[in-house]
Amino acid sequence: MSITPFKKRVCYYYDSDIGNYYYGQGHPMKPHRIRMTHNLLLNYGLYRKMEIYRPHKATAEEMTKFHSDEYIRFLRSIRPDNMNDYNKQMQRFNVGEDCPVFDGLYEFCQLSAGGSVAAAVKLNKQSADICINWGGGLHHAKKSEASGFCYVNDIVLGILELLKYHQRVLYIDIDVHHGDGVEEAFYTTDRVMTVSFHKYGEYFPGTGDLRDIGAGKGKYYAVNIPLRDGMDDDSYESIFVPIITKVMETFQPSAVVLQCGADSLTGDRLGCFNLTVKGHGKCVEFVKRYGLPFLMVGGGGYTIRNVSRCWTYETAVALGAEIANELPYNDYFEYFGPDFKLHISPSNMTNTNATEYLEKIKNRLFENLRMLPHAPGVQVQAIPEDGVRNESEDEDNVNPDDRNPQSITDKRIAPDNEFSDSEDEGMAPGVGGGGRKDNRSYKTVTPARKQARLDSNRMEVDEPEFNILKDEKEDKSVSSDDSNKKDTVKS
Amino acid sequence: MANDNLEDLKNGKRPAPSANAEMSEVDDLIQENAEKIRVGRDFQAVIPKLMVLPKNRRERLNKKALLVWSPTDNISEHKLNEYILLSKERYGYNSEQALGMLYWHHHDMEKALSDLSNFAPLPDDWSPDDKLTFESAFNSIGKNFLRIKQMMPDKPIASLVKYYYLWKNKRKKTSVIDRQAKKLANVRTNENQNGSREGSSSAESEPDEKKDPGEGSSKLICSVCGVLVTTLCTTSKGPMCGTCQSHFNRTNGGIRPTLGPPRPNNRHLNVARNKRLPPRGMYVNHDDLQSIATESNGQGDNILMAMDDEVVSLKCKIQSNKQDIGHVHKKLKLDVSEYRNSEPTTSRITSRWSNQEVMLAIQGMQRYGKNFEAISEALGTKNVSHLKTFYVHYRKRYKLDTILKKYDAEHNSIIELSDDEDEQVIRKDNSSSTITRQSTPSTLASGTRLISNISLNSKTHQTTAAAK
Ligand SMILES: [Zn+2]
Repeated sequence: MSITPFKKRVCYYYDSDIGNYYYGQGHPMKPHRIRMTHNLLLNYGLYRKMEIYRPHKATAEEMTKFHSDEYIRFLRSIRPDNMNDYNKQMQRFNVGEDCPVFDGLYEFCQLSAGGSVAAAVKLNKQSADICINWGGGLHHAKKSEASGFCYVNDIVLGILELLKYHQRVLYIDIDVHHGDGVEEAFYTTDRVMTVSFHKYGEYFPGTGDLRDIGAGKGKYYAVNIPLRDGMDDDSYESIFVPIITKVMETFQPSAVVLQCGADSLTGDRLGCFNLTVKGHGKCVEFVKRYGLPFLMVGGGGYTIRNVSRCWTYETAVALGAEIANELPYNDYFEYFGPDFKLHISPSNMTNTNATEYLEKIKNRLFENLRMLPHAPGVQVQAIPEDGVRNESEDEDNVNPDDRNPQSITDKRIAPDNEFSDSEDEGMAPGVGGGGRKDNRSYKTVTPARKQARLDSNRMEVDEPEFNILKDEKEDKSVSSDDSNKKDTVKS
Repeated sequence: MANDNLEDLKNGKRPAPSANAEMSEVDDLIQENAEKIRVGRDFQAVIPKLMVLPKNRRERLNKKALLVWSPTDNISEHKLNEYILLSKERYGYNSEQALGMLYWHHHDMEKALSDLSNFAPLPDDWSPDDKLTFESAFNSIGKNFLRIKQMMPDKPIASLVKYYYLWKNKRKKTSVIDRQAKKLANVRTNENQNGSREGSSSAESEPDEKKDPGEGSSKLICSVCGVLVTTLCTTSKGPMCGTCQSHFNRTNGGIRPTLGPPRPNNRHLNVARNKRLPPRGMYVNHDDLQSIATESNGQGDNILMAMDDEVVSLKCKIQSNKQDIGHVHKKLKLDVSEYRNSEPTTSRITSRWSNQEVMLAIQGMQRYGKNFEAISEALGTKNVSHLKTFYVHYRKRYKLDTILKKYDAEHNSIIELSDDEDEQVIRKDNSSSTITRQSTPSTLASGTRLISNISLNSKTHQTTAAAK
């Protein structure tokens, strides 16, 4: 099983101003976490492995591809110093409480949206395999309404861009909250399937019922996985992997968008799941292995040190690079104390998601997915974008095993073989074949060891106690290895 | 936003009213009055038509975002690091800016290097005064940047927020150091109070002080304030630095108070003196202190900034060393399992002891003490119970208890003595395996021990040859 060496081309979108926007005192949403992530991955040496883009500021015209003109006009004009003149509109557009008016609000939206749109354009051009915009992922924003700290829905804008050249786009949401904004935007179309894993029941935003499956042409194209408190890595994987596998099988998208909301991590200020960075990152890894054009965006995440840990790790996963558990020194190093490690441990909170419960949900969703018109293989080739897509690229890069990447459920997280030139390669546990330089030293020792044993059986030694008790143990070993070896072999 | 507000957010602003704790059936999950996705022109996006990518589209698309760095295979990681370090140290670039410059010159290192000086980033535009103003504003107002801005009108809010996050960081750092210093001071005070005489505390700190001046050759220590200086003035009360001596002369033999209120008598002088010593391994250069105190503001700042930079680069080094260690550790654990002896040992095990085995067993005890698991593995032909029996039967004849005693004495002391790095690793793991051995010998199958096994075997092997 060998794949031709192929490195994923990863593009990363970041504006150095994004960390300077401030929602307000005590507000849990902190754009600073994006800068922390950036600084961490810079110091991990991941930055230099990607194409780095400074996104443009999305124009009002771009944003009204989804949002209503009035809403965007309102966002553009509202400022902390004039908000008293806008009381009525603020109420109408749900701006004020969760979604406060802060200095630079509109620019913040422009940068966040600009990144996701530019990333989608890049993927359309096929000049990148994976695009990352941690400043995006604001999945609650509605067409004419702010919600849950989100004003402009960069994800919807990105997906709309992808839809220009992709017949079907899959959206996956692993934020602890339901991805209601994206689901609503595409509720009635069969060209976007939205799949959201979220805490459900007395929880923001209140949508995401198992029975919400889309409407009109979009019926069965919204998939909701309602979960309870305390989801841990194993439970999450046990539901994520089969559902996404089935969705890929039946929906056969040609591009994927993954919202990597980090509020599903353990210890989040607002979340109630118990995922570790590794468990969260496994979702990224799993989706990545399908080898489809892949847009990764941020989202929630309110314990900012863990958010930056998570997104840094997931950037590494996208690159197929191994990074050390010890954090490199960085501008915000002290935030990561007291352990200064990349990975985090789950808490001892109870997982209230019983296996049977997850099983029932899964079966129910499988039933729904069975209702989809089965997308035949022909259709994939028949869609217009194939006229411009580089087909040979697809053929070469997608290993049959990758299409059906259950192997990720195996214990080892194998780095994709295509990264065989990576210097970190030797870290893959128990993978045969990889030539690991450092093994050699052990290898050369091993035969000698076996030899010694064999010899010890055969040889007769007259006075063991004299020999050993008299001298201190190691003195004799001064004589050179080789000559001794020869001697013993002869005898 | 207040805390109960946060609780609101956490529980969901819009709770579904009929949420039910008892939900055994999936259908029970479904909450009838829950929020619903709205359908209509006002809610859904307009889906674009599928298009074919035109060839001339490329140029237009490129304007969407500005490429500031692209990876290259033509420059080695090492060279890149060197370049970044140089641009950082000489021109104050951060690594992002340095890479940006390199990319600007199409990865031409030479060109980038020569251009570095032309675009050196502006130094921090926050003056010490700004920082002070910010700190006092922050302390009185809190995190209300709009109001802080009223006190600092020349700073955009973005700049305030940026500085806040870095400063918050720094503030923590200082307090950690303060805490550590306090702790040290307490420890030393306690030591002093525990009955030892005046001299003990200075003797305590001496090893630290001795090491460093050795390098700086001419650096000497003032007996009053403990700073390092280049020249000492001899007085009737011992060698002093210039400052202390002038105080001494001016006050007719008074000791310059170095910290806090004057002390009642000399006896406590040493305690107080130690209090103001920097943490272990850190030295204050008296000349620097003097220039900070006497020169203009900027001068002192420069010295402090240089020291800060040094601290940062040391921390970088520490973390990268830790990463290396972690890497090696991981490798060690993963790789060694492949070299474990996979042959079934049971088939070769016999209860008869050859002389050779006896010798190996004894050597094994020298190396592993009573870790019979390890010895059994090294031997390969005897299991643990064989070895236990062997020990019981032959402890007198082969003076096994003497060996064990030696082993116990050794494994504690050797760790520090060994110079050779590899050796050190092995020994350390040895000792740790000994610790585990005492509790759960069966769980001990760690790879590191195996390496020792291997080296043991090659050594045994040599011994046998020599014996012959
Ligand atoms: Zn969320």
